[in-house]
Amino acid sequence: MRNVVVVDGFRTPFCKEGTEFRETDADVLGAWVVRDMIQRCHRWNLPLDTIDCVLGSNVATPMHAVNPTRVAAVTAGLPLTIPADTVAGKNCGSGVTALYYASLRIRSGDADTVLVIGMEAMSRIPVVYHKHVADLLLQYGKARTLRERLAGTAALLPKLLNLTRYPPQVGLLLGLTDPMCDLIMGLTAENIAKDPMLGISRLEQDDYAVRSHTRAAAAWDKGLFADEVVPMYVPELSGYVERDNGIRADAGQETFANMKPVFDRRHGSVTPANASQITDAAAAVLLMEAEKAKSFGLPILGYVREYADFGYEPSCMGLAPVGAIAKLLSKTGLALKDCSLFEINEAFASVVLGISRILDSPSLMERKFGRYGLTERLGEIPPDDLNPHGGAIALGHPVGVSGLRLALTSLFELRRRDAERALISACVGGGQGVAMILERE
Amino acid sequence: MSDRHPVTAASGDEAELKHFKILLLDDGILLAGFDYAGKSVNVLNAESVSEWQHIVHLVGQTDGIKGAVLLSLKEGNFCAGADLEQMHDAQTRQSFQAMERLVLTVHRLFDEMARSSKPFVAAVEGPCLGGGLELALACHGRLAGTHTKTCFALPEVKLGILPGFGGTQRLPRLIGLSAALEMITAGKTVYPRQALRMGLVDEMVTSVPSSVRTLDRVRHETLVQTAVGKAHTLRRQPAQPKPLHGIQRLLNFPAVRPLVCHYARRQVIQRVGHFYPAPLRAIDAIQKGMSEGVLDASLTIEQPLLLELMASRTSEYLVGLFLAGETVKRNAASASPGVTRVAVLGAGLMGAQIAGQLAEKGHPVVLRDISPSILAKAMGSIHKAQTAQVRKRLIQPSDLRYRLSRIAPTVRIEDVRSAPLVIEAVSEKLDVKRAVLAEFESHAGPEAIFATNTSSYTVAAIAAGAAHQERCVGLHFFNPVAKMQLVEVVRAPFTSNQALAQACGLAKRLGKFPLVVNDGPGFLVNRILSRYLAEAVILVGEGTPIRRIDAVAKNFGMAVDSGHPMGPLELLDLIGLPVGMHVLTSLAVLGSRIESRDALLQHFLPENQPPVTFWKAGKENPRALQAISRYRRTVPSDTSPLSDDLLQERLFLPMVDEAVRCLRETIVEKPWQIDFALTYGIGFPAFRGGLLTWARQTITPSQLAQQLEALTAKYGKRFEPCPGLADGGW
Repeated sequence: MRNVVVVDGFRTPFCKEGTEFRETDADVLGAWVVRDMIQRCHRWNLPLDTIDCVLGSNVATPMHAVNPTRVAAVTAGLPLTIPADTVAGKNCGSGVTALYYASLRIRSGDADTVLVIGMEAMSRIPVVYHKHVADLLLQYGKARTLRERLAGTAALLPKLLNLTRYPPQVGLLLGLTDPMCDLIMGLTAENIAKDPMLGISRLEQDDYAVRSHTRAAAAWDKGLFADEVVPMYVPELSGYVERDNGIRADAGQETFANMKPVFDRRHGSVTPANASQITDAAAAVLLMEAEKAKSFGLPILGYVREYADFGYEPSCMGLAPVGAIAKLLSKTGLALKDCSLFEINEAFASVVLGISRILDSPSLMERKFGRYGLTERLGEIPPDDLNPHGGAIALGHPVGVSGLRLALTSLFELRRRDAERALISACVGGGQGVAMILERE
Repeated sequence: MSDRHPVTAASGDEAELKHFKILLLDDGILLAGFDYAGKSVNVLNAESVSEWQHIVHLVGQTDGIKGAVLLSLKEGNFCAGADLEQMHDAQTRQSFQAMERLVLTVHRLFDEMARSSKPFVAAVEGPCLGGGLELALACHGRLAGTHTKTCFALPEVKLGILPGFGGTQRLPRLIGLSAALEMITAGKTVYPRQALRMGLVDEMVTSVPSSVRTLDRVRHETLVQTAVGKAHTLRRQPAQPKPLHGIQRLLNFPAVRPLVCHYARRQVIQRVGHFYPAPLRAIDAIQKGMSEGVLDASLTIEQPLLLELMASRTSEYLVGLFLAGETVKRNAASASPGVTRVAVLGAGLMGAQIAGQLAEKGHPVVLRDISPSILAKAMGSIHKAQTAQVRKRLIQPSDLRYRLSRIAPTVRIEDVRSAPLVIEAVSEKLDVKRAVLAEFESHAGPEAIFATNTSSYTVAAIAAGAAHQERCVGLHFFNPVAKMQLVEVVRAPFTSNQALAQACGLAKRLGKFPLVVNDGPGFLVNRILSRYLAEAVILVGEGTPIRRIDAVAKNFGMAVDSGHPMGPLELLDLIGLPVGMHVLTSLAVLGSRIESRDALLQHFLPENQPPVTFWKAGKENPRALQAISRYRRTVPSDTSPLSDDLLQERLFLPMVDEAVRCLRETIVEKPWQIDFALTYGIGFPAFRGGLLTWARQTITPSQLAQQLEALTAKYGKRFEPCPGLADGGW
């Protein structure tokens, strides 16, 4: 069988919404990482036309570039002949799914080399007019005579200014709200946090969030992220970013305890501090067929192995990774203890806590997943092996990029630990979960 | 064989035509494809005009021909205008009978076209300049193809003449007085969208040019087909002059015209002073001609003015300099294939600009600097310059995307490794430059070329310790890189032909004039310039007012061609005093000729503060005056005021002396190269023909030597003329 290796990969620093990358569109962020990957190819003397295709992951599709991957690839200087497409539909799982689809193309012999990129510019998601106002605007555009124009203006202006009755729709919030259950993602996290069977307290969530921040800060201080993060120059702002800027120096039980819940203001426990951040970023990973990589004398960071995804109840989408992990383990015949590293996306603290609890408890497994045929307790994830350098709570969650970050962080950590196997997983809005096994040998 | 057309107008005609191909379409429209034999662009001269005359007659006399479409068979060039070589030849011989005959023929011919009952339509794709635009103006209809190169301009005033094929008459009648004045007096270039808006063309056509340039193929282009359709329309319904709109209409009222012309004159004088008569003459021709018929006005007003201007020295010099530029480009052999990826080392002021220029021309660039914050600033400045172009609609937003993502900023030297050519633009310190070269050599392959953008060191000094000296070449850009068209390509004794050719090729692709000079301190331009700047500083130290020094230079015409006349001290402000000082200091190797007044300039460099400038907001900087008086207290000197003539002598004669030394030391071989370099490098006034031409015209070699001797006696050794100066030969 053809093996798929990760030759190399890196990500930009993760920048909170409205900070350094606020002026940069997703396709431009993508172009930056493609450009830097091109530099690496030159360093390895790898001809650019070795790359057979580019597969991107981007959720909030820019309106001006419905295939931002193609725009990124061509503008950054890859040959025009290399095709490109974008995985968008798997929401927060898009990055992992893109890696899987890329590896499928290589395994099937359809391609030898695939460049996978992820890009997300959540700062750039537009605010859209209320439907009623938008209709009037379009109508006005069709007005030809002076009378029609005057009438159009008269109808449009009052509604345009009346923001309370015809509020503009914030694209970001629309995107984060699940139409199948009318819940914004934060409320699905509340559903997990409030579940008496899981018994997740506010304190536990805050503790987990503090842990994420401390671990991420420590990783930066120790220089561990130097492997995966490349500094970025921001021409729009004459700026330069080298570190993830969402890590809070003041993270602590006391500060986080003072935060107010945002999704359920009265009775909730999910606060901005124990939820992931809205973030802009990009990442790139070069996948190659193993023999080909060796023939070019390229470095090998690790191997992409099996993948599984799983559908669950949309209102509790955060628990879906349990199903994906169970399916993946049964598919590969592995057990949790065979993996020495776990990266589970910290969409919300309650999500990661809920997942670990269910995995470790036969009764919870039975109650939550019994009806889908999964009853077996899978085991405990040792806290030191779970997101050892923090996660989306501290670093941020640029939805289309997070999957690639999980893969990169775990591969570099495997190398540092000289360990063999990592399992990455992420919950997906709409009630899905994805999981993937990455190995070093 | 493929060039023979099945349907020709009348038998035998084709054989006589050398520069045109013709093809009569079934529907009676004659396609005339301009294809000047032996040149890469179409030009109008006696030969091509007489052929066009033949075609016009043919159209007029043949019943089967219902109209004609004029197009170009050169891809990306419609017509570059009159044949300048022929004109310059006439100017140097001061014999204008042939030119006069040509102009007369053209006036009659264009008038015949305009009167013809059969429509002429110009299908313009590529630059349509000068006489070419006047030819198009004489047609009944004009269409512009959206080829990226398509543009319209009447740049004659830049050559010291005025549009002499009826342009001063037809253009204002078509687009209105004020718009025509703007195009003619400034030589402004107009792009298709603009041309459509101002009524210069009837239609803008999105067309895919045929890569096979035969009439048989080209006739299927959308542009040509639309032009044929236009000819039919015009035949059925001759074009009526289109009414002007808005402000153009207002400014075109006979009562307002004198005011508009007065304003235009003032603007011209503001821009170029009284140094250039051509724009003012053009305004005269336009204003007077508006009240007469086109042919009469062309013959009685435009033509005499044209001949008068053409016979002037100014025009001869300007045309000479233009042709010199062509020669410079032709002489600089470029390598093929040229390099694509280029690395720029150092992202300071020059590095950033060079990287931006390279990206503009489609080169992938690695921009390397050791400091991320300098890189960030550089990327910011490139972004700013490029977005300004989008705002001015010079480029599309997609161009901005490509240009910015083509530049890869990096701090790692490894990223430079695979680039076949690097341009070094690090700070002007010899040890830094040598260290960068060594660092580069330890990573690069033996073939990679190292081009240094030094301004004060010799290539030999920088490459002294290089493992592969043959790869080192100088590529000296001038600031601001986007505007300054001159690039000195410096050949050291060890520089390989390959390195030289690649450097020249790159400069040419950037649209620059690559002047090959031999290695030596300050190369050519800075070496001569430093004499001028050093003397200006000495004058300041003697107590001559800042404004007087700059006024003398401005009255001489320095930098007038850039639209912003500038004296030596203003130039020093622009260069930056520390950089200027550094160049002067490093040129001390030239001997006693360069006297730098470091003691004075130290007063201009307060610690931890930006240097004091001579000028501030258009006035002498009070802090500079203080600094000067502080200095003068320590070094008292004669304060008697100097005459303007003496100031001019002291500023400009040393430059002539230095130029002659450069010739003697074969930094360049030909005097015209020096003239060209100084005009394009430091803004020596073009109407004076360049430094040495000016010197030859105003002074004999022996007088020059005597004057320098006199200055030496009075002011010291720095004015000593070079041995053999009096013998001439320059």
